[in-house]
Amino acid sequence: MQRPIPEATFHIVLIGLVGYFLMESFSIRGSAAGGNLSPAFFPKAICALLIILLLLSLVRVVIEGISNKELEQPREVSFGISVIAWLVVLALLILYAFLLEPLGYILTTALLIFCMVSTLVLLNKQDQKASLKGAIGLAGFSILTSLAIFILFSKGFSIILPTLGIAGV
Amino acid sequence: MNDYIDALGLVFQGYVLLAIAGGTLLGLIMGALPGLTAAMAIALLLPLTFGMPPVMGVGMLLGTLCGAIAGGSVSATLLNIPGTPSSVATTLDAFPMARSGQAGRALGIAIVASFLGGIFSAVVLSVLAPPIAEFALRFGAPEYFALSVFGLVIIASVSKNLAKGLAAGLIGLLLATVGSDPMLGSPRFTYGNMSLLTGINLLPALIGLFAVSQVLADVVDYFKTEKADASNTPIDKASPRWIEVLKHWKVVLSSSVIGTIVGAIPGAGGSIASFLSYDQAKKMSKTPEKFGKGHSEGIIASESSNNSLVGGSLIPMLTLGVPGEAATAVLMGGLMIQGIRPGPTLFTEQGAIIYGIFIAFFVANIFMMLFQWFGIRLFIKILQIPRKLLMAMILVFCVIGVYAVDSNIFNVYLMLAFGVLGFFLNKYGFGTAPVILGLILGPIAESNLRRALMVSGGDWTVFVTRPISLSFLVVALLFLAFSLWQNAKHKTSFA
Amino acid sequence: MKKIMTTLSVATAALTLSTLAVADYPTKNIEFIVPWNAGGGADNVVRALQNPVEKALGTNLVVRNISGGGGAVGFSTAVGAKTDGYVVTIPTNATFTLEGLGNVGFTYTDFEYIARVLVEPYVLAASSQKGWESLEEMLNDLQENDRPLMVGASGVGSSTHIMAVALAEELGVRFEVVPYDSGANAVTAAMGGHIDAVVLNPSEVVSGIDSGRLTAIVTTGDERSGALPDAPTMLEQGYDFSVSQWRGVAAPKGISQEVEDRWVEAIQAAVEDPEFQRAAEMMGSDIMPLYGDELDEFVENTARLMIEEAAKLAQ
Repeated sequence: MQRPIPEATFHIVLIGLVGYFLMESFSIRGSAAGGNLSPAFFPKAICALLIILLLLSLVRVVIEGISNKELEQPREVSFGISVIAWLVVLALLILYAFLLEPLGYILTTALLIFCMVSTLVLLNKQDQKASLKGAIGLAGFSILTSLAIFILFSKGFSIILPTLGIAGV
Repeated sequence: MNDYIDALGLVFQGYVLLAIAGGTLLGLIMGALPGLTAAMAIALLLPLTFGMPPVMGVGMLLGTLCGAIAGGSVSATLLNIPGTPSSVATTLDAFPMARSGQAGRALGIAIVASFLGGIFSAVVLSVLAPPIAEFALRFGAPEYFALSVFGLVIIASVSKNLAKGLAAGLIGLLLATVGSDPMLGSPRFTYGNMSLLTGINLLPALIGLFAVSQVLADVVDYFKTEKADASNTPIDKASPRWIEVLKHWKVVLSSSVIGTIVGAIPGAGGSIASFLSYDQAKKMSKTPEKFGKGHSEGIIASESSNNSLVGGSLIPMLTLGVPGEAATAVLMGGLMIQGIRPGPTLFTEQGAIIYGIFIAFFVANIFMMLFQWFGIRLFIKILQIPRKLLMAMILVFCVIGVYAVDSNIFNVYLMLAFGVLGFFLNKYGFGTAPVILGLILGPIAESNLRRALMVSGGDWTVFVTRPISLSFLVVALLFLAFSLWQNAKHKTSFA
Repeated sequence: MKKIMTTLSVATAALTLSTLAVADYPTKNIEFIVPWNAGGGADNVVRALQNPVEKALGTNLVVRNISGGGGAVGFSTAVGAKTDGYVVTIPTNATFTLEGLGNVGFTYTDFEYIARVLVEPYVLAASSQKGWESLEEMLNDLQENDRPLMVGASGVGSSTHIMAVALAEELGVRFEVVPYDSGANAVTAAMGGHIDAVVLNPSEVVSGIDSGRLTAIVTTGDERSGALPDAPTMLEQGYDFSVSQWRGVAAPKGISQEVEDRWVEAIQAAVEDPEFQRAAEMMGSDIMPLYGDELDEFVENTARLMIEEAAKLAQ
């Protein structure tokens, strides 16, 4: 186990979430009629079992973490950057989902591709230097890809995609 | 016999063959894209078939169905995106194999295994359809429940760490309870959200857990690798691997049998067939420890099973008029629009047409294999796209795929949430395949358990007094014990 | 100067276009919202209508499956759409039952009903293993043995579920309604003899009846169903009970009369189309078009009944 603390944290977050589900399942209405199970039976049973298993797994993580303390590896230099990149990509995706319907498919998709790839390029020191020429090339690629997908889905598969309502875009 | 000769004449005409080929090609393309299902592909072509003669129209739709299932394995292999729920098991071994620089071999194996599975089910369909349908009718609620328990036992087999794997399976089961209660309709964990009333849609969960989580992991990886662009990973020769697959003929055969039978039981959650076969191949294998790390037997099991599923699912639809899942339901709509009413009378009154459908199904499988054979070199080019561009494009396809299912933006958010969940589940060794199993089997297990109790008036003995139900439960127990033993032998830790 | 001229001419062109837009409806593709996944009964109907309606309207119909919430999401989207006539949907009894179950924000009056196209009754079909040939035999048997009838329906809160409850009330016997995930699964269970009977629409039970595994006991239509000509109706059996499943075309409230008229013409042409007629026959539906005031009256009556029954179930 390289990083027992984040792993233990993940266990605790899961246990918290499951605990919340367990609490909520007490407010599920509907009773058990005729020797049958109530609608809340399964959620409650699953939550209880899940908490036991997660606790079991958590204990093992903690024990291993304590016994292997010296073995813990120093974090790689790139760790911080990769976390930032991860968060930026996720934020971009959420923003994308949020803007997809108001701004239309082609525009938002082109923006997503452009922003995501440039994030990766800018954050990566090993990558070639960001240049204006590169940016223009990327912009062209983003727009073309987005257009191509739009045409494939709307014309090829007859699937209605959101548009901005201006000039069919 | 005359019917068969007439049927051959109906199928082997230039236009009919062309229609089948076109359907297969469209199916392959749509199946390979995440989110676009076989049902959507068939629905798209449906209006086109109106003016066609019955065998031509139905043949085209059958081609689409075969193609869509086979296409799913391409994206599963190359990108870890199961194009359809039935290709989840394929990702377990095909993706690791492709990542180790053997993408061509993985695809080559998948193509041959799919083809053999498809042909096997076509033979069974044309020879044994009525008795198998008769068998499927013996499945009542207790049997469905026992079957789903049997399926859930597989979680033990696909987990690397038992406690974590089981926890992941339970997470799937818990999420499966979201939505209206199946028996009384009480809302559970829906928080007044209309989209959640019918439960968590399987596709956003699937694409989130597999594709989005994979891209998120790749983003982290991208900064770790020495050379940032891994686009120059060596790629091996891309061609079908006939000999390698035929060497494992036992796996092909048993997986095809499982796929056909599970497919023939309407509403049994057909996509579990590939897991059942995978599990079974692992148990029979001399080298079970290699499974999950890029083992050919795993790909063969999953692929031959999910293509034999197609033929299997046609059995109840054609003989009983009961479609087992969405794709066959649209197909049945297509048949009815053609003036063909599925059911037992179809065999007695419209012999030439039903045999024509069987032959068209054979032909569709052959086209499916040929297209993949020629396409394989093209598919593999995907891996040469620079990684940073590929990651962005995969995400774009995931979003549009999920959005296209039902034009509901809520599902896109759901997919992102599953992506984050899947990322951490993979990172800490829980795995995502058990979550999918839980999500698929949870509703089947719960509703059938309660349905069985409702019909029996609260009598729990129904599960052990009915022979089919009892045997599934016993075998499930035995399999569980065997999995535990096999894990212990190969030092898979429990907690 | 030249610039002003261009602006002017563009403006005139735009003006002419927009005035023409109403008269020339439709000028672009029409979106047909199906609130369920591809492969459902409603979806099949829309796909069968697609060709003849496209021919009559001279534009493309783009089918958009917006599923979720048993139709709730799709109907809500349709209600919220622009009232220019370029978004339509397929109303059925589910439009009403959703309201009755109390899970949606719209009411049945939020739609402008353009046409009723197809009607199919509900049918009570029993497993042949029970040996019942008629409603009377079934009722006698149930009363003698004092046991409830295990009846499968196509989903909790579906219109078949609600209809099963209403039928039990009307017949005065006890039904234990077992909800299945789909009509297909309920039929399979009845054919295998795992439950006693199903309440579904004819299209779902016709194959089972043909094969002799199911027996049609009674249907709920005004007249006998074309798909099950031998099954008597509730009215024939002396009960004052008649409700049918129906499928039609509706738009969000507020579309212009011109648009409605164009659609009515299109549907009138479509129901004469032999291919559509064949498809409807195969799907077990009867073509019984209804427009205008008669349609409004029909909607009013059906909605009241379905909403009332669904509200009872929701408690």
